[in-house]
Amino acid sequence: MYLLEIDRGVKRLDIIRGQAKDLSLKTIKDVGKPSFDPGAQFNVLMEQFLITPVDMDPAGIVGKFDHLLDVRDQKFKDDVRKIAPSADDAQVNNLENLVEASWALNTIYRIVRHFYLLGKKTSSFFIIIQLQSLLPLIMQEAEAYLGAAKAFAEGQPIGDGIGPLVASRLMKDHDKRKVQKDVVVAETTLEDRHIIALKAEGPGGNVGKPGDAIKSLIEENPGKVSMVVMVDAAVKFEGENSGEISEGYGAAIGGIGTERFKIEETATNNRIPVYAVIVKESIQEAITPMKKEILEAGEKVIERIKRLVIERTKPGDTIIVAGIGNTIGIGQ
Amino acid sequence: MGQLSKPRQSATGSALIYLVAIFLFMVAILSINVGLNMYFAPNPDLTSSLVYLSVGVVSIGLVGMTVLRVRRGSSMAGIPPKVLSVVRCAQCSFKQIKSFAMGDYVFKAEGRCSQCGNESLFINGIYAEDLRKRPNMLTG
Repeated sequence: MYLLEIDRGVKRLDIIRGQAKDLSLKTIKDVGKPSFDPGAQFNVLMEQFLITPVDMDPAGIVGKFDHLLDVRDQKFKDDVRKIAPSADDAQVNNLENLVEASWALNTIYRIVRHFYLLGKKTSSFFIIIQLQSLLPLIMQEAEAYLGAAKAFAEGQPIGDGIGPLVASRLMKDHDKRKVQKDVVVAETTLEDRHIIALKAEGPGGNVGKPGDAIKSLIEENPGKVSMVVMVDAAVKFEGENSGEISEGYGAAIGGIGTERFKIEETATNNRIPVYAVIVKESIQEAITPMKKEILEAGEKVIERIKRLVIERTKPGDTIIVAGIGNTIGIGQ
Repeated sequence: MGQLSKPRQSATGSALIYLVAIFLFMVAILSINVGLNMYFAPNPDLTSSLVYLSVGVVSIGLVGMTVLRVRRGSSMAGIPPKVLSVVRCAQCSFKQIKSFAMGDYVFKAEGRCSQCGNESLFINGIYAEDLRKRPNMLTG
């Protein structure tokens, strides 16, 4: 019974990854208009991997990770640009996200199939039962990645974009400039305080490097920044409502940890408090098209920021508000 | 892209699971029957009858859980969300909700406002409407 269920799951995962691949290739052909069949190069991208740095001697590992991720991002983007030569920068970013979603589905399928075949081969009841118990969660994640692929193909904002959305609302009608990699900044005022709002450059799918941006903004304004507020989507617990808002302390930013490290280090060196305002959502909601309740949470987040600013700073202070997340489908 | 949001269901896989479930259900009924006969026999073998009854009850429980899971799995298979763009005018109160079109993004300029005539229409938000949450027409 368990084997039948897993077999069914593996077949379904195969169908899902096939659909994501078809969608990716179709979008690459439609948007990128390559003069050749991109299938072979796409398959090479599907099998890419990253070897993490040695952590036996952890000193300097953040820099190594950062360098490795930069190399990977640049190579991935260049590869996507090669198979989609007619795509503009925003479209290349969207295609990159789309290919990453396909890569994730391909990897999920390969891992599940590996343990399924291993369980059958070794007749190990424990491998089978572990896989069977995890399968509903894996299937949920796979379905979410498929939804994400569709959102990336069409350039729709996803739940993770609530941070950039809030920052873009603060930036609206103000002059923007680019700082660091793919991050835009605009200066505005809120309750008589000087606000520097930043987000990844949209509307292409992009998360930028907000750690580097915050660091450079603090260095640009030595001794002036009195607070950093970070807005991000965060995973809710089951039973909590999507779109609920919570406040906390520390750098609200996901990923492998390199950006968080930079923000924490700069904030600590300059004795700047870092506050986090998060919007709760499920993992599935974070990577699929943004739901109404999450969109509506944006205005409430701005009210929370206003309250935080009034309570924790004085008029005339400079505050950095960072909208963290994927800015796909969100301009500035 | 329409076929994307709903992966095909493996009909043979479901049928096979239902067949195994039916077989197990029959085994369970048989086991309960044997157990009850032993219990009410003139010389009841209490231990064996309890074992048969337990096997029957546990089997029915397992069958029930599996059938429920298969049904839940197929009913949850993705209903594609409808994605909408909210268009607003920066000068007046005009607001319009339209279906998302490829190329739409938040803060994209949308041209002239039909209400005030200014070039101030823009997309204020894009969201997905969860079709599963739509109110039931019968119950409201």
